[in-house]
Amino acid sequence: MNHITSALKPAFSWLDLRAKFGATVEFRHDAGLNPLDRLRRRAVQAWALIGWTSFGGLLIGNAILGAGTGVPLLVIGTIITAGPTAMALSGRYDAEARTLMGSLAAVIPAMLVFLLKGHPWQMDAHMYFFVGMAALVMLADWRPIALATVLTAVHHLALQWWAPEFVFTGSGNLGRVIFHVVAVGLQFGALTVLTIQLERLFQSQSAALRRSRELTQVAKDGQRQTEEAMLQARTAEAVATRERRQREEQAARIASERRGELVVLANEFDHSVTSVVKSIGQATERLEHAAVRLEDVTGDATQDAVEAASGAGRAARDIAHVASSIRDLSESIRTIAIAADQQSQLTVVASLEAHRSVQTVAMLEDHAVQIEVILDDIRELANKTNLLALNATIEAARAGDAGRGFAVVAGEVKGLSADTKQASNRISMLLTGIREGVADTGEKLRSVNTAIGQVSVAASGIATAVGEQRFTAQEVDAGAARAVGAAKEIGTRIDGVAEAAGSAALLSASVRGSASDLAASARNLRSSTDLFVSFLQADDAAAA
Amino acid sequence: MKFPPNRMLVPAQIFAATFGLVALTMWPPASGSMLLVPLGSDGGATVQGALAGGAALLGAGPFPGSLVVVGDRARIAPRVAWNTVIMAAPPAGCGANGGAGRPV
Repeated sequence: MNHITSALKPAFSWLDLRAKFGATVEFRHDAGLNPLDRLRRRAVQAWALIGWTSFGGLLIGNAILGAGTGVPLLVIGTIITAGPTAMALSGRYDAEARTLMGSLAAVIPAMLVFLLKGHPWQMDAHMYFFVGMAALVMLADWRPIALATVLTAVHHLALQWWAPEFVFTGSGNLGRVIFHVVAVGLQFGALTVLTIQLERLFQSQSAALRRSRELTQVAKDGQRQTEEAMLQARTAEAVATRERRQREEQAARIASERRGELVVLANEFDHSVTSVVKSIGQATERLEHAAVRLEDVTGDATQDAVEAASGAGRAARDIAHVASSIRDLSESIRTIAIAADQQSQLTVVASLEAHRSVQTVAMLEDHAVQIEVILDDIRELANKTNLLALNATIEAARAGDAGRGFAVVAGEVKGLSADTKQASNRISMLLTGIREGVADTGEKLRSVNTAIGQVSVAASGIATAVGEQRFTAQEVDAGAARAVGAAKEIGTRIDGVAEAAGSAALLSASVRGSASDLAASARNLRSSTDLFVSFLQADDAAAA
Repeated sequence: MKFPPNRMLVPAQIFAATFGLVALTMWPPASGSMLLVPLGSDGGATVQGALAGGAALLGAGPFPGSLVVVGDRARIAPRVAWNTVIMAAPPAGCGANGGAGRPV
């Protein structure tokens, strides 16, 4: 790409001349543009300048040749150059501005052809069409080339269609016009390919340039950082050297001081280690003795625990037997309680029956009393009947014979009265005996009733006592069951105690072994300490 | 750099270029063959004016009433009517065939 830029530089050297002569075109704005935009901007300005330069040259040629075409050249040249000039002065180089330049490439050669009208070189002036199209390559755009091509071809073809004689002298020659148009088209094609390639080349060069600038910037940054790092490294190295020297001096001083301190510390350490080893030896000895005693104690404890476990088992079995007996006793008490309840109920019935018997005896006594009253009445009736019979006898006796029969009846009535009285006496005697028997029976019945009441009270007391005894027996039974469980748990725990005692015995053996190892380690420590202290003392003596 | 687009810019320039090309093609020479095209119907006045300007008639032109004359444009132009267009007459466009000289 650089060689292309170098090749284009001479073509734009006039721009530098413009700058030297103080032209209005400012190039300082080009600094921010990429190479392609810079090329296009300068090409637009160049084409504006080409327009005015050609315009001036054509006017000069008109004057030299005396062609008398100054007015059309002036008018058309001014019109056709105004737009591109405005683009150049405004700094535009976009597609519109570039396209406008194509009109200059078509019209300026046409003006030259017009100026040379009738001149033998007029046909040769057509070559400047191709020069103009080639010069459009500076814009690196196919659009202005296309416009110049279209304007040239269309105006020739239009004239061929409208006024063939205007194109070539003689008759219209379409083939010749097409021949020219094909040449222009081929020129357009070749230049278009060239401009597209040129544009791509510039774009790739721009990208490469941008990338190279970035890399350059990165390299500069890296170089600056490297220089700063090197400076820092040199500074750090100097500081490190100084500090290293100081550290060496300080280390030598400290080493000297530390050596003396180490000897002192070694002596103190030796003393401390000696005392420690001694203490450890004593402690391990005591520990071994304690472990041995602990083994003995744990052995005894294990034996005791085994025996206690056996005793607990036997106690549990005895308690279970007692609990079984208590359950049998409780069953017997329950049977007694039932019998006592039945007895209590029977005594209540007997008491009721005895009470009713006493009432019956009392009623018999009342009846006996009433019978005695009735006997008294019967006895009084018999006395009255006897008295009546006596009166009748007296009367019958007075009545004589007539009363003799009556006297017999009176005698019979008198006998009946005596029999009645005698029977009443016997009844009274019997009744007295009955009353005595009834009284004796009532007395005995009351005694029986009293005894039954006493029996009932005693039976109730027995039932109450048996109930209480039954509850107590149940509690005793539950307590016996709990005692069995507790005895079993005691047996289990005693087994655990025996097992723990066995483990303690094992641990005691282990402790005794460890104590032996510790004593050996203490002896080794003592040997190492002696060696270390001897080394330090020898080193201090050598350093001194 | 971005510029505001102007859609009339390119068409206007194309129009100006086309106008310039047509004008250059049709511009009458200072002297030689010219085509007189009367825009009105008075073709006789045109002929009389051309003859008065020293032109020589070569024949009828391609347009109705038009004339092809040979003469001096500076003398002919003041003589013809104001509504007569003076144009170049063929052969005058791209040059004579085979590089001939000015037409007589």
